[in-house]
This record gives sequence, C-alpha cells and structure tokens, in this order.
Amino acid sequence: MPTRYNPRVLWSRVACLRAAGTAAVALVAAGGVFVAAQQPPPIAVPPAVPTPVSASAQRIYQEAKGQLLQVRTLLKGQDSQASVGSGFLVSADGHILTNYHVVSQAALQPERYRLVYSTADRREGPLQLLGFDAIHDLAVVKPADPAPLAGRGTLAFRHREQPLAQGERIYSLGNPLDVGFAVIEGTYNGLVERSFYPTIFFAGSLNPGVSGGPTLDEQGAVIGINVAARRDGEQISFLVPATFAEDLLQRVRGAAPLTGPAYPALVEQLQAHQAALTARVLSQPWRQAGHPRYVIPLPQETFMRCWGRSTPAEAKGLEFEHAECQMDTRVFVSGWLTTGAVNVRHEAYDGARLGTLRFAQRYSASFANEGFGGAGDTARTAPQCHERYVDRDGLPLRAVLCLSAYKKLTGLFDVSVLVATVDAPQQGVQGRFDAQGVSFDNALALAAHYLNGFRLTRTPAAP
Amino acid sequence: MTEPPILPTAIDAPPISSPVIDHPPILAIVDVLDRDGRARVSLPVRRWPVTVGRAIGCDVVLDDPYVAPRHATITDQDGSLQLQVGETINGVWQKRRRVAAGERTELAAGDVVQIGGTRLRIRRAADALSPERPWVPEASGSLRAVLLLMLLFSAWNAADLWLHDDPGGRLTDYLPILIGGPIAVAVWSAFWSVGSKLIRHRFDFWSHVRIALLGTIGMGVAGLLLPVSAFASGWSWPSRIGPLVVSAIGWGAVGAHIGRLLPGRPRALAAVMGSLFVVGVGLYGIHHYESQNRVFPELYVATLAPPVLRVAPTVSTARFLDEAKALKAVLEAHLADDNRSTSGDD
Repeated sequence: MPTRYNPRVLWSRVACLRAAGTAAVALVAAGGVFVAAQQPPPIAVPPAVPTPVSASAQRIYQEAKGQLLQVRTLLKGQDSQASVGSGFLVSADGHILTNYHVVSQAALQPERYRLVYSTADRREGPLQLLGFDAIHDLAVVKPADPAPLAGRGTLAFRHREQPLAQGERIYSLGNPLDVGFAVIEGTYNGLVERSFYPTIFFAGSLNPGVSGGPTLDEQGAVIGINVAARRDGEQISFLVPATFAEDLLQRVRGAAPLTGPAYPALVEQLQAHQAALTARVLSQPWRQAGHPRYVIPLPQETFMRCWGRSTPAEAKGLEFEHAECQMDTRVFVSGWLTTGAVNVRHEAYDGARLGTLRFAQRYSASFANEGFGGAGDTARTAPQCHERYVDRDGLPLRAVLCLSAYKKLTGLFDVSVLVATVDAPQQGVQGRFDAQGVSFDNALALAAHYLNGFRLTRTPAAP
Repeated sequence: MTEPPILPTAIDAPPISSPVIDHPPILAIVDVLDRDGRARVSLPVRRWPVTVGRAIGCDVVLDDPYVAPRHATITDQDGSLQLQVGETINGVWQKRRRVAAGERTELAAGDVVQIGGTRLRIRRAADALSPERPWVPEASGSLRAVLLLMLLFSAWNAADLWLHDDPGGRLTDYLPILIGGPIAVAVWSAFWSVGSKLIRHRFDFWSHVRIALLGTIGMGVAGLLLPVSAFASGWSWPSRIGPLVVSAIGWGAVGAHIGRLLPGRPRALAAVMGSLFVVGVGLYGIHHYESQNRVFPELYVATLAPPVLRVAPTVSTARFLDEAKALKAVLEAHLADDNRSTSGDD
C-alpha cells in the first residue's frame, strides 16, 4: 500500500502533557527565543488596573494555589527527576488527583521510581499511589505523611448536573515544563467529537508538565483534569471530565497504597476497555465505501475518523483510492506504549491502464508493504501469521491474520488482518484491520467481522 | 677418478656434449618447482647419491639464500628414497614436518620437499605415474551459446524494467540497462579472469561470462517462479525459501567461478562452499529466530499474481479463523521462551 502504516506517528499528534526530562529541555531550548520575546521585561509591567478577565484568573489562582501541587517522578537512588506533572488536593485526608500517565513509571516500576509532591511554597514529601483509572488516564495519590499538607483546603468538583456552556471561560492550573506554577485561561468547547470516551475540548494552551492539574470554572470548581494537547494545531487541548475523577476517588478513597507493580490492575482495566471496544465495533454494521465492484467494510464514524485520498491527476500508472479510519482514543500504558485502539484502512486499485502483468507487480508490492512493529518492539512478541484464500460469497480473498502477544499485559494481543481481493486481473482492493490490546477471542471475532464485510456488489451467477 | 658433474640442464634440452655411447640411464628426475607447482627445471639423475645445496660442487645447485652450501643428500637405498639433511639452520620441510640438520627421512613417490625457499620433487623412473587428467578446453560450449545467454539476460532485464515502468515510457529508458547489464557482467567476469590468469595462466574470460550469466538468469527465474508458485498453490513454503534458493544459486555461481580458478579439487571446493553456505544460512536463521521467533524473514506471502494462476482452493471465514486458533499456543510458547530468557538475564 502506498503509505506505511505507523500508529505511533498518529499518536504523536496527541501529546500527553507529562514533561519528561529530555523533552522539557528540548522544548525550552527550542522555544527559547519565542519565550524571551513573549516575556515583557519586569520593569515595563505597569501596576495598572487589571482587566476583569485577568482579575478572574488572579482570583482563581490565589484561591487554588494552596491545593495545587507538582507531582514529580524521581529515579530512585540518584533522586533526579524522570518526569513531572501536576496534581491537586481533593480531600482533607490529603487525597491528590493527577493523571495515570504522570505516575505510570512509578506504578509500573516501583523498584526504580518513586513519587514526590512539591507545592508552590516549596514543601516536599513522598507520595503513595492508591489507585488509578488508566482508561480515563486518572490516578489518586496520597502523601505518606499528610501532616505538611493538612489544613490547606481542597478543590471541589463542579456539580454533575450543572453543564457548562460552550465558550465559558475556564482556567487550567499546573506547572508547565517545570518552569513554575501557572494559570492558563481558555474556553470550554464541549466534548471532543467522535471520541470513544467523553473528553473535554479546551481551547487553551496546555504544555507538558500541566498534566494532572485541575481546570476550574469561574467559581473555582473543578470541571476537568488536564491530560493532552494536539501538537499539530494551536490551543487544542483536552481535559478528562471531572466526573470520572470523582468516581475514581470514591472507589479508592479508603484503599491501601499499591506496593508491587501495577500490571494486574492495569490488565484488568484494559480487559474491560477491550471488551467495551469490541462490543461497540461488532454492534455496528459496516458502511459501504461506494465501490462499483466490491463491498468494502468502512466503520461508522461514531468513534472513528476517516480520511481519504486518491491518485494525483497527472498519474499515468496505477490508480487508487485510499481511506484510513482511526480512533483518536488510545490508552496510555507507559511512555513507549499505547494500546486499545482500532484502525481500518483500504486501497481500491484500478490497473486498467497498466495491463495484467504490470498490475500484478504493483498489487504485490503494495501487499508486501505492510509494517508490523519492528524487531525493537520490546512490549510484544514478534507477530505470527496465518494465511489462506478465503471465499466471501464468490469473492476470493487472500487473507492474512497476524497476532502478537503483549509480554507484560497478559492475555492481550494485537491483531492485524490483511485482505487482498484476487478475483480480477486488473483491479482489486486491499484492506487492513488493526486492533490493539484485545483478548484472543475478541481478536478472532473482530477479524471475522472485518472479513465478512467484504463481498462483491453483485453476487456472481452460480456456475 | 673424476666423474663428469651432472649439470642442471633441462630434460628436453639437447645434450651438452656430443652423444656418448656409454651414458648411464636416467634413474630419476629432480624437478625444481615454481610458485604454481610446475617444474621450472627438471634435472636428470644418473647416479646416486644426489647432493643439493648452494655450493658449486653439488649435483643440484640452488640459487637461494636460504639454502646451505651442502643442504641435503638424496640416495636410493634398496628402492627406498632417503633424504639426509646436511649442515643447515633451516632444515628441510617434508609436507608440514621439519626435518632438522643431521636427520634422515624417507621420501615417497612424488613427495615435494622444501629446501630453503625452493620446492623440489623427486620422481624415479620406477615410480608409478598418476593417471592422465582430462583436458578442460578454454570455453566449454561455444561462444554462440554465451552470446545467446547474453541475449536472454538482456531480454530479462528489459522485461523487468518494462514491468516496473509506467505506460508511456521512452525506448531510450531501456538503453542504460541494455548497455549497463552486459558491461557489468563483463567487468565481473574480467575480475575473475584476472584471477584465472594469475593462478592458471589463462584468461578464461568466456567461461566466467557464461557462469555469471547462468547465475544471474537462474537467480532471476527462481526469484520469480517460487513466489508465483506459492500464490498458485496457496502453500507458503516456496515463497519462504525463495530468497534462500536465490542466494544459493548466487553462491553456486561464485563457487563455479572459483572452480575455474582452482580446477584441481572440485569435490573439496564444493564441500567448502557448501559448508560455508550452510553455516551462513544457519547463523542467519538462528539470529532471525532469536529476534523474530521465526526462521525465515518473510511473514506472509505478498505475491499476488494474476488470478488465473491460482489453483489453490478457498475456505470459509469460519474455517480460516478456526485454523488461526493454533496461533495462540505458538504465541504463548514464545511468551514462555521470552520470560525464561528475561528471568535468566536478571
């Protein structure tokens, strides 16, 4: 197929906002000139009457700064920080909310990493992980010694039954790039369209380091938790709705701190996610791609987004139409692994201008051009494939089913189904279906669903 | 009594003196070998013992700074050829054994001994001769066959270019491949011919051209037919072994080139080349299995030939997925392998 499939490239468009050491340095270094130009010299700031908007931000920061924390992941032994995020106090007992991805290193490798908090007034202390919700990217931590944080008050959640209106001003708090605590103004823009789980679209600048920080309404109530931003746009940022954080807090409020690696709990959550995802994919009928000869399975765009393109007008050889449908939602597992997504893609080829032999050459080259993660993939086993000719109501398909197993996420698999129609000498369709982090049975069920989406538009006459 | 000295004279050279009736018969011949193992000079032996050294008085006088004045003496004692090493620091090398000064050794028929930097071979009149070897002519097969192969080679290259080119290409696009292909074969063959010239003193160009063309065409044909047969049959193995067969043909062609250089031991050469190939392929397979859990690099058959070539049957989706259930055990075995090796590292 003309483009090599690489889910990591797509994911990189949505960046988690935990600042890792090197990333923070790189961003600061690259943006140095920009930052300098933006910062007015301290003397030039007049003690003028602030505008009403700034007054809100100022008031909200003043009210919330006591509850605002930086959550740092330290490398055990040398105590240098591996990554930094933000968090906030939500209970008088010292419960702190943050993102799962902020604490993931300490959760998965507690023997190597530990968590500490630091406040705006430079108080520090060790943190313990009580529980997390990897699906919504949330975690609850608690200081080992609650005394230094006692009496600071808590941030309250906005009432569930009180929806925000699009355009309402909201304020995100956190410590971007470990530069210092900051308040960032933006607007509420409803939920992200076609997201698998509800996610708030925040029009404001979120930077690495503010992950896990709260976003507050004008009254200072928490409406969401900073989680991610698009790197290919500007001021397109995402918040986890506060209701999920409330639910998680209710669940783990009295829990004992996690001691060992968090894999068993993580696998349990990923299993629930893949079950929900599979059920939704299987429950939806495919929509048609509109090809005159073939019925090609394309997903409904309820939680997936499809992009299409076609041969450039000046092309003399093979003509094709390409469509790729992806999910925006992926579950963050660790800094080098995301999972829990589905991708569907196809190319319809027309080789009438090429002739049979030349078409066969290009059709084969396209079928060969498929990636399955490199040899450097340490999270999964190498893929193993099964291949055959499959009949779909008179349409012969070359079908390849490849599976790889997650090494640490026991019982989860990545599945890829490659399909090429082999009924016509000068035209054909090649499709690919990918699901990441699904159970073996669901992998086969999804593969069957996809394969059964192919057939001819008109069933050929019985011989 | 003074006997006339035996002078180092070529065997077929005319006698120095006029024919003398009472010349004793030739008992043996001492061959002084050149670096290719051929006799540079052959000296007749008409009496025993024969002395070898740098001194003028020796029967065989060697102009070699690593040879002592009286380096060795060779005698025939009741049919057994004996070599007595004289006063020398270097000794005499018989096969890989050093015979030191003052020692004595027996020589077998056709044995080569090294005295200083010079190799000598002694052949007695009574020794059995090795059988005559068949002569391999310069270019076995005619030049016409080679030209025909060249034509086939160019046609193959042109067809390959045509296949990859979009319609509407220019005829001049084919010039580089039609000229460059034969030039590449000629340069490759000339390289081997220089080897032939150095070792066998014959350029042997057309033999090497023939080997190169056969090898290249063979690689191309195997590289096409095996994947296409995999498509037709639905079996994956012809496609899996495709690269292996292609490289075996290429390696075989290199072996054939070397065979033209060293025609003496075809079996030994085949054994060495074969073992190297097996070892190389084995190492590659092991490496690939360790990193990818499979021996052959190909993950699936990607060749999609014209549908008319397919003879393999189709199955239903349900059966296909039923068969795929076997993958679970394979993946679990690989996971177990991986866990074992990881815990071993810790």
